[in-house]
Amino acid sequence: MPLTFEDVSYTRDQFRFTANGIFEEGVHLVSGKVGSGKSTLALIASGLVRPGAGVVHRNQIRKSLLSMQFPEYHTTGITLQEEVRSWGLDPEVLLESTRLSGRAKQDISVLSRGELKRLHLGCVLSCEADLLILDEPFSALDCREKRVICRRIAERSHGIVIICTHEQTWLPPVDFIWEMQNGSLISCGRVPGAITRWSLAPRHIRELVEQGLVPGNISPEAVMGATCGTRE
Amino acid sequence: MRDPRIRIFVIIALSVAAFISIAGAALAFLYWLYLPGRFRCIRRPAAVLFFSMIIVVSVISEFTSGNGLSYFIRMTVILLLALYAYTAYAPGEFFRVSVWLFGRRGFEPGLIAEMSMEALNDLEDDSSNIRIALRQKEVPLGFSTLVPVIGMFVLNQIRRAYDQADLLTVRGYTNGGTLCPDFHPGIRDYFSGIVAICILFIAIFPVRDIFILLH
Repeated sequence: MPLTFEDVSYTRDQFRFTANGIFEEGVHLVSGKVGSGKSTLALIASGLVRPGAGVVHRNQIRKSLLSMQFPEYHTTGITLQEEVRSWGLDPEVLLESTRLSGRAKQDISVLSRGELKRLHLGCVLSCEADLLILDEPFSALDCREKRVICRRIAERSHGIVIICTHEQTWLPPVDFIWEMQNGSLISCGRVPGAITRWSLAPRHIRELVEQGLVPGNISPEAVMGATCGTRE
Repeated sequence: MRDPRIRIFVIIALSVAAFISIAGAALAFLYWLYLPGRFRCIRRPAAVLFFSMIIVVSVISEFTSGNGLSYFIRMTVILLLALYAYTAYAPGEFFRVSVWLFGRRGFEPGLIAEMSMEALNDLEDDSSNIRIALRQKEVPLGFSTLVPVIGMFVLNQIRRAYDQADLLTVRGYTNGGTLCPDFHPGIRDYFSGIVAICILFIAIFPVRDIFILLH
């Protein structure tokens, strides 16, 4: 079920987005600076924004889901349990897994940004979707939560997951790496080979690559493994 | 129009002309047709909402006082001008114009105007993102979702206001400030301003009145 971008372009004011490439089944990391076009890619990939030119093929992708950076936008329930139900999920199970149990009847507006993001990502990652797009999933989360989200992304067994982020440390194991540079989508290829071609790689990964120690993946565990190899 | 002072003046003059008379509204509409980006501005989602409101009030007005058509024409032109003004606005323009107009006393009003414009932009972004979220959940916008959605609008604005206040405090703002605005009007700007004055003049003093006076 690949997601294919064929000569896609989109223009808004002075900004121009262009993309060509095939997103195969697996986890894809799209890295890029703020304003480079990651969110535009997310919107076009999810089919919520129509490109100005070109075609996006969604072969056999029946359901796609986009998680926006700010969880407030997804809120349609007044209480926590109403919000969870609006995603078609069981509030008891979901609130338990997001460490918000006992607060089902609380007003959702009392949650902090971090708690709301936790609840929102809990809902999104519990939903079945052939194409899941996470726009800045790690923003507003502490290290512990980032680790939980990384684990849950890694646990997904099927479909395409696209993570658009500029997170530098807490990253899940991925299959493919892409870069957004000045509005253009660039493929670095499949991991681990992609790590050597990843020009926007976090500094600690870049330094490892420069020393000839290419980590097996980009997760903190894989990077730590390569770092330990240096010490040996 | 490059000069925001002239653009704001033109919008005010044409709006007054359109409000005063049908002739003024017709001329203001013709002027609007000449403005760059005129059709881009009417594609905004808010345009449909405001246009619907005008239609409703016009229909009520037509049945009660018989002035519905006149109201519809005049208010539609004013709406088109307002949408153009909103689309053509660039951040910082109100600030510069306010300081140019009122000197140091214009600093605060300019700052407030800029913040208000920013809030309007944020509201537009918020509403577009909420529509995306509702579509994804396959939830129609109804009474049950209206309360949390409006709540989200309000909470987001309060959060942004807090952030903005923090930012101003961190930068040492207490009150007042200095700004040296500069403007670069072109020939077209002056021409646009003169035409707007003529339209306002015609709206205030209909052409037939001038001929009657000449007789």
